[in-house]
Amino acid sequence: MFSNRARRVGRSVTLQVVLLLGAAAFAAPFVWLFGTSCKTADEMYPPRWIPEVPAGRAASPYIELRENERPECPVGVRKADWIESKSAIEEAIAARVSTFQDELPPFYGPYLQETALVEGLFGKFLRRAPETVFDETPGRVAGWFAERITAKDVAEVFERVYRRLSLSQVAFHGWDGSVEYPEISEEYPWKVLEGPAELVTRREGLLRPAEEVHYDFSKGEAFCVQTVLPLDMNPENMKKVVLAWHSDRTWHRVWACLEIAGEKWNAAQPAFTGSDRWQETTWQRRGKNDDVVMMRPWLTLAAAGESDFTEPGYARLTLTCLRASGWGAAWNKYTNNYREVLRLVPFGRYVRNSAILVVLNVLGQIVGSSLVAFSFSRLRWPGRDACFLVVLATLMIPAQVTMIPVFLIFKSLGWYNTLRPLWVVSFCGSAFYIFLLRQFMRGIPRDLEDSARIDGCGYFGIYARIIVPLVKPALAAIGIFTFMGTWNDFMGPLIYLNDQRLYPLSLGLFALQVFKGANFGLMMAAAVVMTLPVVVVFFAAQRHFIQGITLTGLKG
Amino acid sequence: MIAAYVLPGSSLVIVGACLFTGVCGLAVGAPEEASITLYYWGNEGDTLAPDLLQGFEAMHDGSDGQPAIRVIMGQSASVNRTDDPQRLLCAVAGGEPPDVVFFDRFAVGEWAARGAFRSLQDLYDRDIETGTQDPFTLREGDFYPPCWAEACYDGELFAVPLETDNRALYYNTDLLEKHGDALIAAGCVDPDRPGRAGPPRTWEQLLRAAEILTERDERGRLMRVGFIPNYGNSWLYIYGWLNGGRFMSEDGRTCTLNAPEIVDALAFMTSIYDLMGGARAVSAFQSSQEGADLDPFLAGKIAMRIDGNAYLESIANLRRDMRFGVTLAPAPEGKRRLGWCGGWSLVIPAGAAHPEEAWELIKYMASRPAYVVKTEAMRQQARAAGNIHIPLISARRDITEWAMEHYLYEDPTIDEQLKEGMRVFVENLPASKYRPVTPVGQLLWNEQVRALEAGIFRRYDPDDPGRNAKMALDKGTAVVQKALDAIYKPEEHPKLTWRPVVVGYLMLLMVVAGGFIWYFKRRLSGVGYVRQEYYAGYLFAAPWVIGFIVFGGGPIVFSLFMSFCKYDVFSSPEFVGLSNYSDMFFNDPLFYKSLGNTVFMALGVPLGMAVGLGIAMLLSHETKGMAVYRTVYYLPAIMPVVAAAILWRWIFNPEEGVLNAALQWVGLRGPAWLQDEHWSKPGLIVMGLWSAGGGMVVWLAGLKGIPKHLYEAAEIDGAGPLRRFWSVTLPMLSPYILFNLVMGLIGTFQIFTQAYVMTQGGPLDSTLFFAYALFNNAFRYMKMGYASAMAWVLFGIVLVLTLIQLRLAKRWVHYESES
Repeated sequence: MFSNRARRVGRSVTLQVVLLLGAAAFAAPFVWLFGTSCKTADEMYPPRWIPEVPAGRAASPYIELRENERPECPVGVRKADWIESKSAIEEAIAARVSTFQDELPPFYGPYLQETALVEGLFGKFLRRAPETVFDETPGRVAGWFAERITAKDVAEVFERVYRRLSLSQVAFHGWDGSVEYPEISEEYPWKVLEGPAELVTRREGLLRPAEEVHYDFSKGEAFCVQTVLPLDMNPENMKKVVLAWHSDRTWHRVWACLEIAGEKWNAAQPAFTGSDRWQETTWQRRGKNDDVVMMRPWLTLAAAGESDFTEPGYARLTLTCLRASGWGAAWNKYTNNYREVLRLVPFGRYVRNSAILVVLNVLGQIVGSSLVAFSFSRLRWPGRDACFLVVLATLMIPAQVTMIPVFLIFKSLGWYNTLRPLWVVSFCGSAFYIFLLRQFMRGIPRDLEDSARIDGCGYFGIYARIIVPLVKPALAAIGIFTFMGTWNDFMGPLIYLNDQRLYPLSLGLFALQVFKGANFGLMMAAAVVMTLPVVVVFFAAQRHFIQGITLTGLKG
Repeated sequence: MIAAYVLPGSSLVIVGACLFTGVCGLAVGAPEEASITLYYWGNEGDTLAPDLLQGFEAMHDGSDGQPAIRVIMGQSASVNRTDDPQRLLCAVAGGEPPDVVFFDRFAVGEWAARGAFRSLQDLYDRDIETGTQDPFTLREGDFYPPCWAEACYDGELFAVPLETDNRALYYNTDLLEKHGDALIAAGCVDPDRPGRAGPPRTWEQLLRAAEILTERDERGRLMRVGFIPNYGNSWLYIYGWLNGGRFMSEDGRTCTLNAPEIVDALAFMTSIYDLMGGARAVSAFQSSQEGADLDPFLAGKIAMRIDGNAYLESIANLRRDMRFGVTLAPAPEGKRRLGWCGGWSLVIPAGAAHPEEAWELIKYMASRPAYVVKTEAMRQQARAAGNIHIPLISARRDITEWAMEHYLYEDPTIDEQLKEGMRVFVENLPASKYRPVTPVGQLLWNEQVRALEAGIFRRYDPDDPGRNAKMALDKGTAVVQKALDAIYKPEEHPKLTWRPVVVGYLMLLMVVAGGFIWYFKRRLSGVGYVRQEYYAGYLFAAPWVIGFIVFGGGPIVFSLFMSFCKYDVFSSPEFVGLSNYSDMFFNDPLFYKSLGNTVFMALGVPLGMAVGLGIAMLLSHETKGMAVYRTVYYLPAIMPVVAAAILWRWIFNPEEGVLNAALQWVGLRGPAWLQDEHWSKPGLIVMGLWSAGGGMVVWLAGLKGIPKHLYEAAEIDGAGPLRRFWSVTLPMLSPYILFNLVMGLIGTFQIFTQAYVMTQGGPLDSTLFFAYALFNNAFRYMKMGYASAMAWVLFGIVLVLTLIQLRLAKRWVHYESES
């Protein structure tokens, strides 16, 4: 009925569909993992698959419209009552807010009638409203809401919806532990060097005095602000500069530049206007131990030659803010947790240690296990089967009860606090792989070997030239297993390594979890970082699993 | 002490060690002349360590005539050093302990009782007697009494308390206001502002408030829960204390877990669960909220919870706009309301090289300057991310009072609610309770959890909560009491020295070697060709044999010896004959329970193989994008365990989980999975199937090894796809089927990680697997001898099963080389 061709196409389409469905089922959790790794701490609740896309604002300050959850009909309130009362409540709240005009800072003025503010207040009081309130007439319900709102509530909600960039206190820390909090002086205030920005000085309620930066990137791509601060300490002693600032969640990039006594340092990494809270950012000069210490919450200052700023007893701090387009802002936000993971731990060193261990272990297992498996499968010798049973038996004792004596052995060899306990043993082969390879090697017909022997090939020749090439897929499998096992091993390094400099990535990132366990997005980013190399290696190696060598022609 | 037991064993290899030290490049650098190097395993991040230790090293730079002290910080990377004490146990047993260790106070008594720590009493007394003016001198009076008491065992100081915490009731003010009228009617009134609703103060009020604050939708499902007794950080302990109970007698020799006050407390907890529709409904609700990354109290789904002060920081940073309050946990009418404190401390392990200097370091770490450095660093960390840091409560009253004033109460940027909350925790700390200091602390903890679960799930008597609670607690008490008796009324057993173990191992090796030579000689009658093959065989097997003799065999023989001993790693083993085994078979109900659980999991082996093979056959086709498909199908096997655990908790959510949503779509009502004792194991099996792609690699390699001509021949003979699968694929794959079967079984009998990470053995011990029970005994109860006996029983079972499989395999496994 169908042509051969049609049947073939039909079959391959079915196969693709099945494969796709399966892939969706298997990959869905990873999509979630990946999505979460791109979230900031603020958006963990409510859960969602796609991380929030930043608003991509070009101008600041602004009112964030998405901050509040929309007030929704509470459980136990009739829909009709709700719809009836809703607009009345909103009107009453708006009216109430305007009565606070005099109690609130004057700059609130233009924003007081924003819907985001009204919605925020609505939600805030809806949470504590008994359902019975809605039984009343709409006017009474609206009254219930309006009479409860105070100026403090308005200020609280305003604080969350009003997004702005503010610069506040700067501190200098010395290598000797001294700290200086220079007053921003009258003669050298923060000033805009160039770009579409202006500064507004403001004391915000109880918070510290700050310079609010109003900028508009639709009129230019970058702006630059600068201040000159008195610095008592010896310039050599200057270790880090800490800036307290409030950013506006626009995810633009901020580069810092510090100049003291004719010398200049540029930030090696940018800061981002990503959070909407008061935060303190530290820029720190390179120290000699930077590549070994963990949890480095600072941005590095790299020496950048000479500067024309030579005034003694002063330091000059310049911040350059570069516009991020919509996509750029999204990229900056999504990669933030990854940047953080890579910055917090001495990544290069950990990866190097992991790589050393992985290479040695993979090599060791492939060589060791294949030699031993060859003996157990292709050679006949007295005691072979009994010996093989012992090989298997070593797997049957739980490692927990042999952990301490094994530790004692390595310690007495002087291997404590070296990488050796973590790889030497692999050259002896491991029971799991020996068994696996034995099964594969037993599947190879004898005739191949016999003809080689007739050609004058020794045992090692048979092993190296005939058997090993034939079990390549199995060796690839062993390689992948060992790679994964070593890459993820955490208990071994934990027990045998005392020295931070020897830590592999698994242990390094685990330590990260100890300190930053509450930061979900960061943890997921670390998990992705841990997983990614294995995915890449598997992808590259997968064709080797199926490199079956057809034995046709030998038996046929 | 410890070194004495360990050294003879290792002296054999010390000659070898000398040879190796030459090669040891990156060992710890030799300390400089006239200076002392201390090793410190702390919890500080490494950025902090230099700042923190700088002050200490400056004070001890050698200028006062004393040797200079240098401190090397070893990061203890384990999340919980008392739950996972392997690292410290190895280091102490290996005779190379660090000098100072940051340790959970709760476990100090347990380790001290076994001689793992050095007593600090003499050092403390000496400082007090000399009446030194040193500002770093520690004085008991400076510390909060419960913190100090928890650090002492048997009248001696073993640890110096560092940080502490306290527990109290958090409540959601919005929800209290929302239900204000009903709450006031129930007596929950704000004492300062009559006429406004306040948090409950008595158990009676708590019960009523929990009921009032619970909201259901039209279908009767829980939408919001007023209060869950064991949620946050409360356990049975705090209810027992609130009811005036004690968990141990005054002299510490009798376990009073089943005292009437505690029975009543458990019955009270049960009655609150019943109010919400039973523990099952509550835990389903609880876990349905878990997928939401914000916890249900913050999300307003639970109105009250008992938790520690650390939770203040979560509220401050995750839910800035939340209105909440903190008050002491309610107590029964007429009884005292109080908190529960725990925390961390510093200890000196026994056998540490420099106790004097270590003591100096401890005193420094417990001082105000050290506290300030740590707090400043934590503030910097928090503020770099725009977060608020709430200072930790120091176990020293003088430091805490100053620090709270300085870092919290005076800071205008911090919300008043947080300050008020902290005041409740700090002001009530002196009267707080602490867990009994006893050598069986961990066991008491676990039995308390077990009894709590059995209580609220009504395991023993579904109809009478009081009787059920009593039965659950009686069982736990008996277990703890037995362990106590073993410690306080020990039977005399001959001590075992290390020499017989070493000599035994060497003799065993000699016997095996002798047997081999004899066997070899007998078989060596073959011709030269055969003999050559023998030699080649031994040579090729040599890597494994050497490895086994040097690294593998000794420890195995060692564990066999220990299975006949009472051995806690710290003191020398005592020979007890077969009593570990007889205890296991006749006295340990968990032995059979865990074995049964493990056998159940073996069902997953064939299932996993079938799924793995199915996937491999699907992926062995050649079609577009196959490389990507293979990688995607393999992804679950790559996933780090911790990430997978979070994921699966979300998938298994009874209410909102993906799995039950899918089942509902087909019209089935899914079970509570990991919350349900009958479904937890099947749940873990399902989870294992998801990563069955891991086995695919072996199957793929096997499938590709099947010669094409076999299929062609079968097709010519008219065999359909099924027939070809049955007659060609399966027989050709039989070596790998055997491999997966044997390895799967061995692996399953040691299944551990899932239980450890996901379920901790619960609910109701339904996922307490054999290896997990073994781990508990070895590292948590310090019964290494008993654990070894368990290991050998497991070994026996698995060995027999493997031998049967290998024997049967001769009938169905087809090897091409032997055809």
